[in-house]
Amino acid sequence: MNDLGKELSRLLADAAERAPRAPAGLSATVKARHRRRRARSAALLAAVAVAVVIGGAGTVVKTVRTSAVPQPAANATDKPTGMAKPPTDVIPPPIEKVWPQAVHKIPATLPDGRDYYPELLLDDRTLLVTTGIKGGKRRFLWTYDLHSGKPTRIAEIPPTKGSVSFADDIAAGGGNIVWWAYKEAGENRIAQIWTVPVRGGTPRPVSDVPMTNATKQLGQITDLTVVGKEVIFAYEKGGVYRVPLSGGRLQPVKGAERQHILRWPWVGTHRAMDDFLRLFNAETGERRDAVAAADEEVRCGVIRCTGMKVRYEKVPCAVESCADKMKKERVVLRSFVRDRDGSGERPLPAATDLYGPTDLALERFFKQILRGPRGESVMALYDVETGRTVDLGLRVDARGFMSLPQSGRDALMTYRIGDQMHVLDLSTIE
Amino acid sequence: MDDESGFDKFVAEQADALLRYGYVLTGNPHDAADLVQEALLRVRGAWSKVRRKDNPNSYARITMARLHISIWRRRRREHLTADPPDRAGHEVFPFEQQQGLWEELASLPRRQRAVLVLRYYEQLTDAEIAKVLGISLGTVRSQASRGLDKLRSSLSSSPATHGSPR
Repeated sequence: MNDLGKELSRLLADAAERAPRAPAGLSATVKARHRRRRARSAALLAAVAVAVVIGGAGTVVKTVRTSAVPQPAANATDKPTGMAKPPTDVIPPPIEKVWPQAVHKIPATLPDGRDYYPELLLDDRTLLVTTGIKGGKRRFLWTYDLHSGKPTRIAEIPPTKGSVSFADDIAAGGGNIVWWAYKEAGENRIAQIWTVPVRGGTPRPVSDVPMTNATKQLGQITDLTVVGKEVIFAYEKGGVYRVPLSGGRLQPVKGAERQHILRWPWVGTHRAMDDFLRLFNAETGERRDAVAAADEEVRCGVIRCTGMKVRYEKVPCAVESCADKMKKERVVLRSFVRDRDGSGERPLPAATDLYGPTDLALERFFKQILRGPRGESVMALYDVETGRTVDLGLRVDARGFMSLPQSGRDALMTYRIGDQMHVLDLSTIE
Repeated sequence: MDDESGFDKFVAEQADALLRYGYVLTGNPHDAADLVQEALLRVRGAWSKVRRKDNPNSYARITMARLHISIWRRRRREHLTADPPDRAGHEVFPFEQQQGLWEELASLPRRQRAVLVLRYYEQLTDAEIAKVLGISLGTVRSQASRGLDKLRSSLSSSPATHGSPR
């Protein structure tokens, strides 16, 4: 082994000793996530949350206590705009009081008693759901009228024989619903995209999608999107493709051969430290680069980015064996949210880090766990646009569970309280 | 359930070692925790098969390496609920020279880094690395030599990494 090789071996062995320790309850967390992934069950999420709420109670409380305050600006030129000062441990007003138009409450079980998972908003009054795993193996698509609370069964999802997974990444557009599933159980070589009209009917396969090519695994299908009469998706490993809803051959989207879809037609790449910094409009060719300094770690949406400014400092080593040496320390100076062009920057409440800075619903709303006056955890929602925070009404229950609101990049956020499903349409908030 | 307790035992015995491996693969504690959790999820999903036919530990490690080079990411509508990452004070090494090498390692493309980690941390042969990552032997060699070249050149061009700091 050459010198560099030896040095690398030593370095990696030393570094490994600095790895985090496995948290208590890791196995339970993984098993709970496994069940949830298999069942896609919103209800089971509560079990996952235990790891945080019970297993890591000290950590959560500590984090919230020390970080719900906006971080100080690094220097005088880094002044925040001052418009969005998030609360500390003051319990905000309930969401129903502040944004009543955004809140819908519907029964948390279907008329046949089965549980369900909210998937997406088809329009401003229709929620698409899939049946859960409890209560039968057959899976169905239902819609809920959010105004009347009336559910309608629209289709049965054809199962892949012997497979535990089913309809993944459900998307809709132009009156059609699409999803993908493995074509053969236990084989992740070929996926199949399916569709059914929103008004109901019998699902039909759109196209087979290979998950490997001659030389490599391409990964699963992600970012499934329906645009007009076409289905567009990205491979997990990058590469955007389109196929007509009526069927036919997959066509690569020009210029997006290694990209992911942020929000069609915007595509880009995401890496550990810079997510969708550079965007490319796959329809018009327009490029949109976000402003980011070299000492910033930034993750972006179409209009907005969140990030952290970091600095590496030399500080004396505190460990006895190296007491006379200096070491480098990475210091987070502040976390922020701002527009892609760098304007409108304001500080981010650090408590949102609980879910990571990417968990920004509609590029605007962050979940936060606040600490109430009696030390109780309160799930709140922080709006970076108005600086308002609301109480979602979620609390730790008698068993120590607290469910987490489910959300993606779109306007839908859902969570269950008792026998009611709370369905938020965040797009109605001005 | 047998399945469940077997998996519990596996996690209890191996989680720390997997985190160490995840940490040298990814270079940061947060991604390491994510990667381990995702790999364990897949191990759990394949548990009955893995337990019968394979060694769960090597299955988990192979999964981690492959996930890491596959720009794996969280699926929509799922949230990790591990402890919040410690964002501040993410120093690793007390010595500048090692810290410098660690940071250069972080700048390598994932596949190059994975090849070097498998070679110099897992002490695998190039043929074994090829098998783990599902790439050809030639690719392993070219990735390793490119990665080493980059480390060498960036180290020699950085005066801060020469000699021991006093």
